[in-house]
Amino acid sequence: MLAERLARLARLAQACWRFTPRIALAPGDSLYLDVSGSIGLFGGERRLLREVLAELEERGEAGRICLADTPGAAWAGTRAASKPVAILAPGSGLEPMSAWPVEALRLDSEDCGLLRELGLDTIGALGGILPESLQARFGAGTALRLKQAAGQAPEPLDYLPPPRTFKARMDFESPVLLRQTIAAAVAELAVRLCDQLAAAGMGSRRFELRLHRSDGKCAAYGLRTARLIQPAPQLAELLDEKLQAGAPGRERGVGYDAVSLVARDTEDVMAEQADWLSGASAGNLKGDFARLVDRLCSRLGADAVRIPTPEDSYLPERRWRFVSALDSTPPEPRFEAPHEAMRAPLLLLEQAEPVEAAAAAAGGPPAWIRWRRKRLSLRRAQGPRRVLAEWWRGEERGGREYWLVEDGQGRSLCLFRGQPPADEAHRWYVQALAA
Amino acid sequence: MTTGRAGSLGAPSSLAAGRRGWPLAVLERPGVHEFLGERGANRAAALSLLLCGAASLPGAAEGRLVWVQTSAATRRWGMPCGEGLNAIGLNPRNMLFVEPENERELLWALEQALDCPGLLAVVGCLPGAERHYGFTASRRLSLRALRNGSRIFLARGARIREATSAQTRWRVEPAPSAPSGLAWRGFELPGARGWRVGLERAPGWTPGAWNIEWSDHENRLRLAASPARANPVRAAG
Repeated sequence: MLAERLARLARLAQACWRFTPRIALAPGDSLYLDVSGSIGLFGGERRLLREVLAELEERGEAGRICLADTPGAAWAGTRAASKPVAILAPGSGLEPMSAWPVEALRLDSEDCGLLRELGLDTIGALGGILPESLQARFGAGTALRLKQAAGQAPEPLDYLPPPRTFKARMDFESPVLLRQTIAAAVAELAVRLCDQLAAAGMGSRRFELRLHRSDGKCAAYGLRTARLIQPAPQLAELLDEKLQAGAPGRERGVGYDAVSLVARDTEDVMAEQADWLSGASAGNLKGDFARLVDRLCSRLGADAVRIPTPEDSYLPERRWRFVSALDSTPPEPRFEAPHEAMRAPLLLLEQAEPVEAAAAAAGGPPAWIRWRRKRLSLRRAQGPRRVLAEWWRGEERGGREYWLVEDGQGRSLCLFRGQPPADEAHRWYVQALAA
Repeated sequence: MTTGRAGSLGAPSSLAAGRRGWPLAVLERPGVHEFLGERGANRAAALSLLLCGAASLPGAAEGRLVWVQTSAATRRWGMPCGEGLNAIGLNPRNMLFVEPENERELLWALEQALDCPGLLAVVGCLPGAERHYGFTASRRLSLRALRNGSRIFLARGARIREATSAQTRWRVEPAPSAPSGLAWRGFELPGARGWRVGLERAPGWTPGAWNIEWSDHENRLRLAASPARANPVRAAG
């Protein structure tokens, strides 16, 4: 039980390395993150906390965060602050903590009991006592914790060792120009890196290949994969495709001195497998299909390979968002579509296209439209289906009236008409084909 | 899915009867299936037909679909709509949408997809004016498809530059949807989706033309109920 909790904390610590290299375990399922050096990198305290919170949420952990001058104050804040995310102003000492219970000071329960018996319930009450008499009456421990929280006594932390870096590098005796030689070197590096990862029981979904040019410049190629563990030949193949797509310059006959390959964001393979066994894997794509996704992504770019993901919206263009296959979550089973009076179109345009339309009676479809320089006489129509503007997204009220229309030849379209006040002109748009 | 090979497409009796009549069962076979439609409306018809064809295949509800089209095609014909896929019984979450920049990359992506076993189908939407898809490219695709037992549905323009080695070739035009008999303010209500398809090529099948429609109840393509109705053949796409 304890081991499991520690392992979870350690995994969380691993995910927090990007915020700071100074991380220590704290009592009671907590972590100290010394971010004094990294606040600027994240654009301020609030942004940093937001990122940390997002990281927690992504891992499905409900957490409380407090940013303060001292580890003691931060620990107290996570236990006693009214909000789950709190920032104590720098230099404020014990003042923001005055109403918090004494338990927030990391005291043992015996000391707390004694203080409570004497009616000293809050940190503020304790702070009113002279430090000398505090130590004499309640022991050195209580006095020290109070001082540490206030920043009057130092508190050294046992920082966790930094994560291992997985890197392989090959230097050439003389600058290399031939693509084949570079490809061979990359294949060798892939083998070395995969061996390193396998020996440590780690895997990675993010790699960086660097070609160091003899004129001092460096070409870097990032690679993301859908799978955590890959055999070396396949990694080499993916990297080779990256190189081909990027076509590293044989410009002006400048050769390459060295090639290096780094695994970024390494993860514990055991953890991944455990997740997989419990059916809650983050890497949803498996086997041959994952391999296909990797190949397509490495050559065409991760943004060119996408999977539709449902969104909470009634507007057709927002209902399904196409998300990069590398970021997508495991597929859910198909939901049984409720029977809609109006059938759904099969091809959705990226952007609705405004059309010229015959004057139509209010609440009715036009007799013809002119779209993409063609005139379509509409013979059949079904509608209207009203969709409200999503005012909760800050859109102006108005909404749309959808129509499914068909011309005499069977060409079907999905039209909508904008509604005032958002669309005063009451314009018609084509949104989908093959309706 | 336990449906047999002759499963949901076409009645087995028509298979036995000298291979005439409605031949959609050939779509279950591995290989390259071409759907020819002129630009514009007919291309939309070809794409919607091949989607409905994929939805008629056995195992469609759980099968993965790899859809490949260039970004130019996306601007022109849009992308598969999740709502629509769901409505015809395909799971949108099982579709991989691949959008290469040009035709050459598109053909490469199609070949990669054909190497992946267990897909329901690979769909390729070729540009209106093909530059690289011809005999050689189609041969490469069909060899891979036959070797791996996978099927690929290609939507192409109607102007054919050179012969290809596709297993089947269909010409697709939109057809007015089935008459519903219900009218409102001078507009009749649309019925089931319809197409006019011509089979130009399928080994062992007699070429012919049919009016077909999508059946929401059976969740598959079928012959239209009233083939006698007027059809605009050779529409100026």
